[in-house]
Amino acid sequence: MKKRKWIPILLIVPALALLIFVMMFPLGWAFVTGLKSMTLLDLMTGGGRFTGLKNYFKIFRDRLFYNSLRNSLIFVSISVIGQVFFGFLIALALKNKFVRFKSFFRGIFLLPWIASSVIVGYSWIYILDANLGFLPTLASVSPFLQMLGLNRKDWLTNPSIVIYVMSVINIWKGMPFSMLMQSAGLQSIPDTLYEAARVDGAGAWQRLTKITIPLMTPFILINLIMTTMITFNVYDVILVMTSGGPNHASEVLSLYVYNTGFTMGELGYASALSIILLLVNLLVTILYFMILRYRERRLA
Amino acid sequence: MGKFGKVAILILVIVMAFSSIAVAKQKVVLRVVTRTWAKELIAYATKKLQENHPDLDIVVDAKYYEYQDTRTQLAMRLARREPIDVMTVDHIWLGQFKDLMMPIPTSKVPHYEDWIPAFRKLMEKYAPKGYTLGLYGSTDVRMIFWNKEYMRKVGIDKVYIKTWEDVKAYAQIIKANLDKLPKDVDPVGFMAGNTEHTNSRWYDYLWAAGGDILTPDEKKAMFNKEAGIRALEFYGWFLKNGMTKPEDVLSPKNGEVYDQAFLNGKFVISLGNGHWLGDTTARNVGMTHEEFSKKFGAALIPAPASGGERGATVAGGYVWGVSKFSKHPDLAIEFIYYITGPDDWNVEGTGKYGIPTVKSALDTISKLPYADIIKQALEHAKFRPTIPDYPKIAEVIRDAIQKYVMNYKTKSAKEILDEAASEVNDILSNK
Repeated sequence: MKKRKWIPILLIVPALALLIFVMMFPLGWAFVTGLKSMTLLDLMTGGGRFTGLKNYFKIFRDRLFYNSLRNSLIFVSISVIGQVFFGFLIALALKNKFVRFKSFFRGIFLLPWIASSVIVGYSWIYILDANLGFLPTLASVSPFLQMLGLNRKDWLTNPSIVIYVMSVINIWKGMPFSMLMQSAGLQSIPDTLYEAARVDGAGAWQRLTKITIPLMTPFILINLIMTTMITFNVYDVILVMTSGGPNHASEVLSLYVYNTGFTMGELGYASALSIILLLVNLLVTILYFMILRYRERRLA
Repeated sequence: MGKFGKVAILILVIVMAFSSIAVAKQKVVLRVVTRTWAKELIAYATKKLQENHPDLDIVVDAKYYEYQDTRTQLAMRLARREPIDVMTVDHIWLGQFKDLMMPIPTSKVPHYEDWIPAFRKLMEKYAPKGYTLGLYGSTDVRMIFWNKEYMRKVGIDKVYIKTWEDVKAYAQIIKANLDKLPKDVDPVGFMAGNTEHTNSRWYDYLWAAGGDILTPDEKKAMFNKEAGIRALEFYGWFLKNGMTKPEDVLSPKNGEVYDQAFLNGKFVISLGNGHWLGDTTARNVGMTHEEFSKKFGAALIPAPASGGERGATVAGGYVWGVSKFSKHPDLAIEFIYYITGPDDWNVEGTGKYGIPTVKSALDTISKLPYADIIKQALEHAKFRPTIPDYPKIAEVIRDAIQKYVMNYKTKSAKEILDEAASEVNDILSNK
């Protein structure tokens, strides 16, 4: 009997070891590096001196940090709302019994999500770029596109709109994830509820607002948490498309960490920034969990 | 078979086994971290090395990366003390990698004196006396180019560009005749995208106006002085007068995309492209040297009407070095000699193209389009700072150029350059 008690512990050891080596060790390393003044050169020569919280104080005086934080908040808010909303709409549409070829459409909708960020980035460059993109060329001769206000060339170079353009692209890329999560949620709602509502005379709108949305709320909240965390860390598509430019107008926090570490070679400062990014992520996650718990308590 | 026969066979087998071990070549693995464009060069140097060492079985384990990844990969691998033998370092990274590169005794490099003194000086900058940090591969220079077909369409048959005023005058004629050109063509273009190519092409004009990036002791910013302001205002003139649009110059992802846009007819005059435009870039789109020269014209980077230096240009290029952790330094030195040295310049298959940095091969420039202009430009070639902080400084200067392009209506060049200079001075004083 005594021997059996060890079995569960033994079983979790590989997962625990993996977690320590893949998650905790790099995190600890990033934290320690964040307390040092360390450049790429120092990394190679084993240099870097301990400077305590200097990097963190520097963050609060860094205008590019505030710029990237602002961009991140815009990017994450628009992306998350867009992905969850459109994901929900498409999941709902695919549940409808009148829609045919559901598997085919599900497959098509998944394409942006499974495509690599580099491919997605370059595809959008060939759509939007001022010199290479076909949209500006097409819009210059199409009265319809001009009427829609699409006859502009500065999608990726206008500092006032580029972050919104990136957000829309990210909605397109990330929406299938929300669609999948919410499709799973919709499958869990028994059809009998809808039939009963229909018998009671409830219309489509009432069935949506009184049955579907309330029962989907936990799924939507989990979807929100996951999408927020994922989106805060997105930088690859932006890196491919604009590298954060022009003049940092599309530089989100995760990309700023990347650029600081690998372009400028400031590893200590980039590590401190990444710890701040982690804290922002944690804060948002805690907030969502509090909302989730509050809702559960109310229901209970 | 008798007992004696079995023993004889056994002895024979043992002798054969030992003799095969004795003749087996010693296997040597040479680890190389380099750029994606260097495949031909690596293949050529591997072949030469193997020919010169028939007793060795040389395997070259080369890893190829894009520009930014090369630096990151080198940094990561060297931090892990990985035994890299050969490394390709953009000369502007020299300051960052100097402590990880093995100083090479110049006596070990055949024909070392053949390298042009300016390149030798740069390679020796961080090395002890009598040593070099590496061998400089080919270099490049920048020039001003124009589209001859478009020029003819707007009524300009002969183009003479010597000063900034000449460029402005041609731009005005082109703008007045834009209806004769395809839609969306800009009279003038320059690179203002999100990479260091934006800086390097602007430095040509900064130097042409008599300025510099940093003070000679590399301790303070200098690009915000009068020459810098004039150079940035020169860009601004084209924006203010509708000769180009911010989105057209900001959008190229990097210098290659900008070059491509110019070749595709986006701009009539391009303020700065590398000499490679008529060589490798044109070749990539299936254009021969003759076709290129027929379609595009070139001149030295112009100077302001008064003062300055006509032809000022950045000299680009890579230094090939041997890492401090190399297990085969002698072979690595020989290897990088084959890649950079005077042998087999411009011979098909060696990958040695462009502008040589060795005197004995300078004649090969004659094969390039606009060779005379390239030769003249080479006399004015200058290097960017190689101090460890340069990548950070470059980022600040690039931001300033972009900021000006985006805000030229509301902010002055001086204001923007002064802000950038203050940031650069903070970096240099390690604040």
